[in-house]
Formats: sequence, C-alpha cells, structure tokens
Amino acid sequence: MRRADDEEFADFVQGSSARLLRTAWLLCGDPVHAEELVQAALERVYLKWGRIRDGEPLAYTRRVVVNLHVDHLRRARRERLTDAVPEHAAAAIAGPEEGDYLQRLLRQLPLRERQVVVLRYYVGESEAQAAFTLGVSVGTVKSSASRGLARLRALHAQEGSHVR
Amino acid sequence: MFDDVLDLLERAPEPVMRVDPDGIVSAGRRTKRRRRALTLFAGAGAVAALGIGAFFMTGWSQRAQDVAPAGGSALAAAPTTVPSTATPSPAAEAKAAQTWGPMHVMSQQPNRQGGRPALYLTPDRMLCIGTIDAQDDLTPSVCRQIKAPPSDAFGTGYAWSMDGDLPAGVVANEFIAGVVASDVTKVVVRTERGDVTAHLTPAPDPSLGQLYWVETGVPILASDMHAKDRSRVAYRGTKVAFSCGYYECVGR
Repeated sequence: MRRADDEEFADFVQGSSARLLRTAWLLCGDPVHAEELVQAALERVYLKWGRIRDGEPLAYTRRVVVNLHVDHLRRARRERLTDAVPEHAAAAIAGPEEGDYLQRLLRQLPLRERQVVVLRYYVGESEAQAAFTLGVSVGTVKSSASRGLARLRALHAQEGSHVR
Repeated sequence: MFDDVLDLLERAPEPVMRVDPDGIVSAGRRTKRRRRALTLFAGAGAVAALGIGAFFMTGWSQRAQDVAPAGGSALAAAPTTVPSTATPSPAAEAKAAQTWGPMHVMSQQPNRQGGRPALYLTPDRMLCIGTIDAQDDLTPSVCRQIKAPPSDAFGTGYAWSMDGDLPAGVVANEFIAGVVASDVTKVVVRTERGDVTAHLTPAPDPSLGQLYWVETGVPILASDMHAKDRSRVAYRGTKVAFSCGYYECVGR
C-alpha cells in the first residue's frame, strides 16, 4: 500500500474508531475485549483497503467486528478465559455506574437480540443493513429488534423502579 | 437516569477505550509481508516439485529406452536424492512471525484436543496464551495488548483455564500469567491450597519487564467463575514489594 493510502486509512481509523469501539463494547460488554475486536477488525480492513475504500468501509468494518465477536464466543466455549487479573484496584472496584447499568440490561438479552438492538438503535443501521451485517434475513432482524427493544424497555422499567 | 433505552444506548457513559492507528498499519504491513513470503515459498515449492517430477520422468523414460524389459525396474534404479534446501518452510516462517522471543510452555498436561498451554508475546506487543498441538502448531486463545508494568503493581495479566469443551462440573487446571517489573525477584500466588511460586523470565524488550506464569494446581470446575480468591505477592529480594488481591493492589 502506498504512503498516501496508509494516511487515508489512518484517517479512517481516527474518524471511525470511537463509534466502532462503542459498538463493540455494547456487543461484548468488556472494554478491553472491545479494543481487541476493533483493532483486529481494522487490521483485516487494512489488508483490503484498496478494494473497499470506495465502497462502504465503515459498514464492512462493522461486519468484521460482529463476525470476530461471534468467532470469539464460539472459541470461548472451547477454552475459556476465566477472569482477567486486574492491574489496578481503581479500575476493578468502580461501583455501579450508568455504563455498568446499560451493560447489565444488555447482558440479559439473547445474543441475536442484543446484536440487532445495538445495530438498529445505536448504530442506526436500516433493517436491510443490519441483516447484511449479521448475515441473517430481514425478517429475523425485524422480529429480533421488536422483541429485543421490548425486553430492554421492560428491564429498564423494572430496574429503574428499583433505582428511583 | 435516562428515561428511554434509546437514550441510554446513545448516551450512557462508556469506559475509556482507544485503538492505535499506527499499530494497526504496522501490523497490517507485517501480515502483508508474511503473506507475500508465504506465496513466494509456495511458488518456489511448486516449481521445485515440478523440477523433481520432470527429472524423474526424464530419467525413467531414458532408462526405459536403454534397459531391456527383463532387466528389472528402471524406476527403482533412478536416483532418489532430493535436492537439499536451506530455505525454511512456510509453516516455520509463519510461526516465527507469530511469536516474539521464546514461547513458554506452561504445562505438559494437554487439553482434550492434545494441546499444551503456552505463554508468548507477539511482534505487535500482545501477551497471548495459546495452545501448541501435536504438530507443534500454535493457536492463540486469548491475547491482550501489553504495556510496561508499573513498579508498584502487576501489569497485563490473565487467570485462564484449559477447559476445552468440558461440561459444567468437570475439573480443569488453572493458570495465572502476566507481566511484572523487571526488578521483582519472586512472584507468589496464594491459593486455598497454599502458595505457589511463579516462573519468571525477562521479556524480549526490557521496558516490558518480565513474564510470570504459574499453574496453581487447584482443580477448578468448568463453568464456575474462578480466581476471585487468588492474591499475588511480588518480592524484591526477601521483602514484599507489593501484593495484589483480586480487587486491590497495594504497594508497600
């Protein structure tokens, strides 16, 4: 890849990484793993940058992130990281926060519903785009989105009534 | 409190996360170079195979003309020397590109697929735990970006088990590994079965301190959460330098 292409790719990374990281974090729930997912996805995108730069590189990268996350879940069933040893106390003992609260709600959704809710209502993908990203039918996206959102709202109302 | 979940998705605070664009570009370049090298080796191998095949075919047809049919097999008399090559195999190249410095086998006890656990660093500065199978191929299981360890706490680390596809309730072995400052002389992991001293070895780059790993010897149950009761103690000489419980890390 030429130097100009590298610079263009680095600009793409700068511009898209914040949104990609939040998407990955919403999907997997672990900030360190979210960084790893996005880093790995962008490395793959770099290898195909010449071909996808004129298309929709962000949508492509998102699809790679989702696929890597699913791959990770499959592998994690075989060999499981039991727990990360924390490096410092401060990060590990942080009390319940809004971010933790959101993760607690999302964790209660089945994987497909969680993926669809994140892609449709956070990323803002259309039903067709979400179907492309997840490699499922539009019908599956529709039903998972409506079930997932309803479930999330019910959980939020339930948890909220405890908090208030 | 957010009133709606859509608000929550968009605005709930997130942890600090970042990726390194330069790191991604360098890792991508390395992968490209490796793929190019593999293609080159594969091409050279194919040409060599064709050459050897042509050599045998020529030798065989030459002898078929020279030797009487009753005189035995001409093919058996053909030279069988394979040209030697000093070029490393593509697999060896790929493996060498995967690891940085030595790879440390943490236990000889294999998992159900026959793999043994290994701790290693990659050229793009990731601390990885993977398995080495019977063919000596390395498959990473978990990797995490490594940072220079602080002087008063442990650095990047894992508690990890080789569960394989074990059903819940079946025992597996537990490993604890990570990095620690280079002037630490001993690391001890405390478990309910007593203290276990970790292996220590310098990282390839001195700024990354040293790697430590230990097999705790505590059989853990698959599908349980582990390691919450483990604490780690680092020594400088005979003195405790700092100790880290699961939720705290105290310098002394």
